[in-house]
Amino acid sequence: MAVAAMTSHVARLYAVALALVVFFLTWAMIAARPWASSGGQKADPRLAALAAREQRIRHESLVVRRIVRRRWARYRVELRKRNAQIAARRVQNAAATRVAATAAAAPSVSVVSLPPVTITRTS
Amino acid sequence: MRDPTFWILARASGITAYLLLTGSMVAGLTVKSRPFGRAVKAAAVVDTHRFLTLLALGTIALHGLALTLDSTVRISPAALLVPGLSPYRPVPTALGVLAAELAVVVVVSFSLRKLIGQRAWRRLHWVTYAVFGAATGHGLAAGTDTGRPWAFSLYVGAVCAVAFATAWRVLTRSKGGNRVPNRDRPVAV
Repeated sequence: MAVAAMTSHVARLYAVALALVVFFLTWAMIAARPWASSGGQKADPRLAALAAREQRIRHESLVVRRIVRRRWARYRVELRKRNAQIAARRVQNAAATRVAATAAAAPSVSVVSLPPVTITRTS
Repeated sequence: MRDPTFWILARASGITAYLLLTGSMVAGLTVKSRPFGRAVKAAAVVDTHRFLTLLALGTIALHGLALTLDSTVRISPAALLVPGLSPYRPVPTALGVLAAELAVVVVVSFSLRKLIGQRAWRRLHWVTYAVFGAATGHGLAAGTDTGRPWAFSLYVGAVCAVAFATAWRVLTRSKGGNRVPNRDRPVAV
């Protein structure tokens, strides 16, 4: 009976509700920045330098990648042009060779009248 | 990136346990000082005080469980029982373990009140100040969120609340007035 008289259900309900509210509020506050370092501690300068270096290298790698991509595109255009030139030259050469071959197969015969080869000796 | 669920659970439950402990202390201190007069029955305040203490212990257990399950800070189950075994900030963590163990002793003493006697129980109840102090030290020194303004102001507010309630209690007793009438006194369980 004494326990029943002491038990305050309303107060207990409020206590549980308040505890839950506090718990979830705290959860939300922490979850907003779960890995953030505490503001009271000073950041390690070596870590800051490393982070800056990482940023710089990241940026440089982007620039280099852009330059390489541009050069590769230009190279591909030049290569296509050069291949076309080579193909054209090959066609020209093939045509010239054909002409030359035809010319060699039919030699021109010319009839010439030479003076008779006569040797006259007087002794 | 690791899954921070258990890490967040450990931090949130730790702060909630600290606030529940503060609430329990303030409730305990207002049992006799009765700042609300007859509007609130002393028996209800005592019940709330005991219930808040039990809730705080439950939340402390959740805090310990979450810490053992989390991989951010490696804490073994043995480190939760033996102060100083934790590799993470050993002294502040030991303070937390001590505070939890003393809180268990105080809660158990409620049930042993008749056995150990009223006077011994009252003396033992002074340990709650040590529990609160150790919990505050643990939270400030080992807490990840201490540096954040909301968490720091929470600690300051808790300490101020307990100090204010203590001062109120001392002043009320010294005046000799506002005594709890016999019919409103809590019944020992």
